[in-house]
Parts: sequence; C-alpha cells; structure tokens
Amino acid sequence: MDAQVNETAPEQGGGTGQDRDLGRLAELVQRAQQGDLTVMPLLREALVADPSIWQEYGDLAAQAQEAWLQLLAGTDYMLAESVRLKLGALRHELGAEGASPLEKLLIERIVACWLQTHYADALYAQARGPQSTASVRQELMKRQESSQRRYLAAIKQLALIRKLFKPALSPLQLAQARVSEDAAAPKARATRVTAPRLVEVN
Amino acid sequence: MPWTRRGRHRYFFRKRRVGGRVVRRSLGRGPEAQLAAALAAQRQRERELEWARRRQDRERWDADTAALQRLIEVSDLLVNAALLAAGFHQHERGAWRRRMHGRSG
Repeated sequence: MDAQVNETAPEQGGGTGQDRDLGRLAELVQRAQQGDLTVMPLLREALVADPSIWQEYGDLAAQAQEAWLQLLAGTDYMLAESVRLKLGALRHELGAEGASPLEKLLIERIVACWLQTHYADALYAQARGPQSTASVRQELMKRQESSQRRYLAAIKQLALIRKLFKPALSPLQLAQARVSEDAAAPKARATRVTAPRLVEVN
Repeated sequence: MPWTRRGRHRYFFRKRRVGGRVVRRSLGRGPEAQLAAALAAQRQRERELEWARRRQDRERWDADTAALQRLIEVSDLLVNAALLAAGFHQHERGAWRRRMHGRSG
C-alpha cells in the first residue's frame, strides 16, 4: 500500500502549523491502528523529526496549568506561590528530571489535572449558604467527578508508557544483579509504602 | 406581573403555592403594596445577579476545561503514536500488546 499521507489540516479554515502536524499524526495513527503497517516509518519520523514540537506541547500544558492556577488562587499571590511549589514537588515525585519528552508531557498533564481536581474540590467544599441549592451542589459534584476521571486517566497513561517502554532485564542482567540479604526486607517494605500508585494499568 | 390593573387602579398581587396550588393574594395599592413590590424587585435583582455569576463561573470552567481537554487529546495521540511506532498494537481498544514478530513495519 502507498504510504503517502495527505497534508490536509484537520480543521476548517486553515489551522496553525501545530494543528497541521497533529492532523497528519492523527491520520498516521489511525492508519496504523487499522493495520496499515506501511505508515510505521512515517510515524517514527513524525515523532523524532522535529524536536521543537515537544516544546510547543509543553507550552500548551503550561497554559492550561496557568489558567487553573489563576482560578484556584485568584489574586492571592501567596497561595499561588505555594501551589507552584507544590506542583514542583509533584513533578519531582513523578520523576520529571531525566524523563523522556513524552513522559514530561504526561507529567505536565497530570499536574494540570491535579490543579483542576483541587479547584473542583475547593469549590464543592465552599458551597454553603442559602445560594448553595441542590442544583448548584449537584453541578459542583459533577465537576469533581469529571476532573477526578481526567486525573486518573492521566496517571494511567504515564504508568502505561513507563511500563511498556521500560527495558526488560535480560537473563544475564538478572543473574548479575546483586541482592543484599541484610537490607532486602526493610527496603522492599519502604518502597511499597512510598512508591506512587502507578502500577495498575491495562 | 405582580401589579395588575383593576378598573382605574393598579393592585399588587403576591403569588404563593399552597397545597400544590398557586394562590394569588392582593396587597392592595397602598404603602404595604409598594414595599412588597420593592422587596420583590430586589429579590429578583439578587437572583439575576446570582444566575449571572453562576453562568460566568460555568463559562470560565468550560473554557479552561477545553484547554485542558486539548492537552489531553494531544498527549493521548502522542502516546498512541509512540506505542505504535515502538511496535505495540491496541487489542480491541483495550490493552496494548507487543506486535508479533515478522508483522512490524
């Protein structure tokens, strides 16, 4: 089958360069998912050809985060700054340093979803007084549920990528791995407690 | 309309629901009616302000959610692209599996 792909923009009226790139990528992904393996070289090329696309997607994440931070903190700059520190800690906890560009994007998505979830929780918690009718509370609860779903889906995507892209140990590496008999048991327990819940995928 | 014309004068009526039925009670056209009308108008203004505030809040939420949704769609697309490029395929829209040898492109 011919592996040529149309260069049409996904949106009407001519989109941005990013839209065109995404439209082309979406088309390649769709064809690959339908079993057309001839697009694989193009797909690989699209992912590595232009490293600046990762910067653009990172900017998209930063914009989303800033919007939610403004909603959450408003003009309380002290709160905004402490939330920013918390976001930094969250990125560190998720291993943003040394992560691949795709992992970094997923971490930024988790951070943005975390902000939305906390804003929804805060709104629901503040919904008191005569103006907080049953319909208002119901709407706020819906927001909480949808933001929770987005947050969990984001964590799941990162866990999936980490699980599938983690290189499997060869039998030789397994045989050569050192196992300390003294520290093994307590260390394993500590890891189980502190490790983020990112293991249950698929 | 709470003010209703009867003959040469306008009278203020207040509606109440009593036992599942709407009952109209006249407050006349004197000071009591004027005060009741002013209070009813103020309550209506407060309700409209609250509706406007809620509508604005919902629009802001929707706009920011749209930005986040775009990030989600883009990252999902990139995850799918990366997995397909690495030789995985999605089994019936569920789990991702490594493609069998000899079938990768």
